[in-house]
Amino acid sequence: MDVNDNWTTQLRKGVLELCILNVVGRARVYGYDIVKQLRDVDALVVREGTIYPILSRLRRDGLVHTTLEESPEGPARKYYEMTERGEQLLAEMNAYWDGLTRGIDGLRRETR
Amino acid sequence: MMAPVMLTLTNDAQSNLERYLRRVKAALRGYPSVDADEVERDIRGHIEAELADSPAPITAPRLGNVLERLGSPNQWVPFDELPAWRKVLVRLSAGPEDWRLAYATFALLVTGLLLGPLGPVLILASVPVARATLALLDERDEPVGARRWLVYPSLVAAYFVIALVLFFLPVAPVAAAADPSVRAGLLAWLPAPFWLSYSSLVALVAGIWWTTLGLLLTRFRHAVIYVFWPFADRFDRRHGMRVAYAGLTVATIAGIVLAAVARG
Repeated sequence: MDVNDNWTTQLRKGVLELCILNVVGRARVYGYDIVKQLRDVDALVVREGTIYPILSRLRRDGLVHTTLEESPEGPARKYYEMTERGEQLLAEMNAYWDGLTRGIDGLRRETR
Repeated sequence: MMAPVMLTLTNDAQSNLERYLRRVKAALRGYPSVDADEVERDIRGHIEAELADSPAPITAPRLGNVLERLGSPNQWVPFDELPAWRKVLVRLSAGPEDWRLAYATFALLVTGLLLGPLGPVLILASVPVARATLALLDERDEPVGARRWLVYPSLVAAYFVIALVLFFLPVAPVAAAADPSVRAGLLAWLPAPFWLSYSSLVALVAGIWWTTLGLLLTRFRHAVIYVFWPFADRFDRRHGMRVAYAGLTVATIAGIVLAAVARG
């Protein structure tokens, strides 16, 4: 249904940035690995290319920083790592997300 | 800077990849929040990582699967984040069957041809509008179709002038010997018969320039594809080398003739 499709699309867009920050927040990670990890999140079906402009924006905003490293398997790889500012924002975003999901869960229990 | 894609691709796959990467840059150009060059390099790295274990050469369908998962670049960033000038262009060509930009291109060209002194300005203006029309269709993966009759004339005219300048401008000073004062100077210097030694000199200069130009074209292949887009998508080193060989042949023959005339 159109309304459903539009709603899920908008929701995914908003959540995608949070997911990317969480992947980078766990460990220093190669760009392609971020895409592979996000593939495993079933409900987060996105065009994989969407992730790279977001990474570029996060870097420009100073939330992640990148380093190029030689790889034995081919050309140099770009690794992403969280900055201090990124860590702070991620903590705030996760706290907001937890509050939101708790609230929604509460509403759903009351509805039942 | 990261290295270009180091995969071995079939010609079709290579052409599709280059077209896709151009779409990436075109779609992201002008976004204040995104570095289009950086994203293009990331996409190259992604494609390389995806296809690293595939047997060479990578075929167009195999590459197509990866590009399909990456998706259309113009859907990667929300419309709201587009810079104002691109919003205007997108709105002007909003519908899937929209012809407004194509008509605008043609109108600029025709008005330019009909108007006197202001004409060249409008004709020049029709070129970026024509390219923007094609870029938007390309971003949407929509065929140009019959719109080519409205859009291509501006581009063909502009590219023809650029090609003429590229090929003949350095020869122009030599060809200017039609001017009596230059002619008098040359007559004193060139051996008789003048018409033969003069035409050989022009051919020699042209040949040397075309050889240099051909070699430059092989070196700056992407610039050729960009300048003459969308007509030079398949331009490669071989085409540049053909220009260089033709130039070398002309220069050699002209040199031999000139030497023979000088010996009398």
